[in-house]
Amino acid sequence: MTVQWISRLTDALVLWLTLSVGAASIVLAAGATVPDWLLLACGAAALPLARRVLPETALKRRELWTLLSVGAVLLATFAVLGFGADQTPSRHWDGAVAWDVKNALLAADLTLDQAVFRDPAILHHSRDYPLGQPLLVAMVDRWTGAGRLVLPLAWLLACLAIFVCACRRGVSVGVAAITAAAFGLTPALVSTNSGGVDSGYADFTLAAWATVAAAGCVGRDRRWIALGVMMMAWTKPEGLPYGAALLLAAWLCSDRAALFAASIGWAAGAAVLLPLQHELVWADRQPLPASVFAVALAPAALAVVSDLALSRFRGAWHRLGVALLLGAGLLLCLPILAEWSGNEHGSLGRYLRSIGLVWDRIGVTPEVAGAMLDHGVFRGRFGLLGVLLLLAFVPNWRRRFGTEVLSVWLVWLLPIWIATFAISNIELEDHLRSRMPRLLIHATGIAWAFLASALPLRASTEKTTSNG
Amino acid sequence: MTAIDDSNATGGRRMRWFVWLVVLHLAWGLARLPGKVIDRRIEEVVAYQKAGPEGWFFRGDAMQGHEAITWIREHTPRSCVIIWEGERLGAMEFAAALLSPRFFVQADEAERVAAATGAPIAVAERDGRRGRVTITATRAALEVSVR
Repeated sequence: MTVQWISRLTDALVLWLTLSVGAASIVLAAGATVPDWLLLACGAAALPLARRVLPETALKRRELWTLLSVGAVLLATFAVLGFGADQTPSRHWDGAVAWDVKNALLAADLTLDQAVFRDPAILHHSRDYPLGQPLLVAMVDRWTGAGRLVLPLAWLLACLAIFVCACRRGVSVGVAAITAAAFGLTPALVSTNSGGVDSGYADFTLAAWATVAAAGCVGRDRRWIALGVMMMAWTKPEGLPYGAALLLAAWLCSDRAALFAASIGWAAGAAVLLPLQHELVWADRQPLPASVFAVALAPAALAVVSDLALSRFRGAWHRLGVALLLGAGLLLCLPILAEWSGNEHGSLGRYLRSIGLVWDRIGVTPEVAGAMLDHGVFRGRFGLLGVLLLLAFVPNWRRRFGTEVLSVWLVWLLPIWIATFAISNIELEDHLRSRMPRLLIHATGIAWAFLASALPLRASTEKTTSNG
Repeated sequence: MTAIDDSNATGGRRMRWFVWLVVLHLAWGLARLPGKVIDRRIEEVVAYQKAGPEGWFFRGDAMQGHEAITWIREHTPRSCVIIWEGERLGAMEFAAALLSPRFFVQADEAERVAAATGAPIAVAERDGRRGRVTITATRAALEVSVR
């Protein structure tokens, strides 16, 4: 019963936050003011829609104690993170200069009809950044006065998602709870570093939604995949490319359920985000081009249609050949997509237009890989996660991991990260030092969901599986 | 159940060692909680509250600008237009953020923004001179003057 309610609570939370941000973003993009009741209305809508995604499970005494102990540890950590988030504004660079300002402006008045948003002459950091996190902070702040508690709430949601996906896979409740706590207490997430949960950056919030999408892949929950991909797009500029990477991974693995869900999430995410970014950059000085919706729909439609067309062919090689062809075509089209996105010089458009620079600066790859190993494995900021992941890619053990899509998704994040460093004009050494840990945070939940797919199944599930 | 699930089920018993590695990771996280998560966070919060926002961000030698921000905070109204010049990234990011909701605009746009928003251009007296408050930024420093 307890586990069922935890799963229902998690599902309700995913729905509530996504509905709130989605509806509020549409209202803002339309140039209107977000009403305060919207947050409560979305909560009221989410409750009946939430499902008990786990079957009834009779807990053994040991499982119950493990669950209670882990719950106590997670709640205590939530309280500590809540203290860190609530007692001061952001104590780190981007948290203060980019996100806190947006939080405060929207908490004062939930509309873009403010001079800072409307007039490009007024200095405003990261003008076109997605507003998912500031919107949630502002909406909660207007009701409670403690909007920044949204930050540890995202952490709790990610922990719950890992727990629920492991349970759905058939892992025992005790092991699932331990895995959720192991994820939640990963040093880089709960320490006081920039990018940590209460730092005010949106990096962990992005990671939380990536965790929900990844948990959807492990638990075969299409709703979580779609909503996770959507919220990734609405949280940080990296969200759209990360969602596209999941789309590509599902396509390559011929996982049609994940592909369809990720396609819906990506298309809806982009269809809401791109008009909002256009509004943030241009306000009413330039009309929204219809091509924005073509950019939102085309990649997902292409992935779904080509998957259906290829379904007659068996074997990964056909798919890989088509992927290379489509990929080459897509790379050539990226500058056109940047123009069509309605925000050619924005946070996404700048990267799409400059994709040619990646070939010129491909030499940065060894340094990026070295920094990734350094920060991910040797510095201890990610605990044993790096080691566990490296084990997962050892050929003999690899087949024990139940979700091929997640391993391919993780691999596809690498070219995105390399492109990030290759295109940027920040001095490479400084950029690697400040950004690499945050990029690794983005992938932490995906990695833990992937690891959860290798955990031993509870005895009853093993028996059922071998009988089945 | 899919083929993947089957392989996990048969390999389940052999993957028990994997659970122990997860427990080891959790133990690492738990061991860090009292010192590096709780104590350090409390120290940081207390230090921030003691220093104030500009004192906190401009501590150390990497950036200078604490005094400029404090001076502007004390000598200009919350709703006003402040002229800025110089480097947009670095110290200026903090000026715009910590002094929000004041509007920071370049000199040639100040009149227009003031007229459009109804916020006055900030005027104050400094070192015996009275004039428009102007902030000059390099990546690592802020300087305030009146012109």
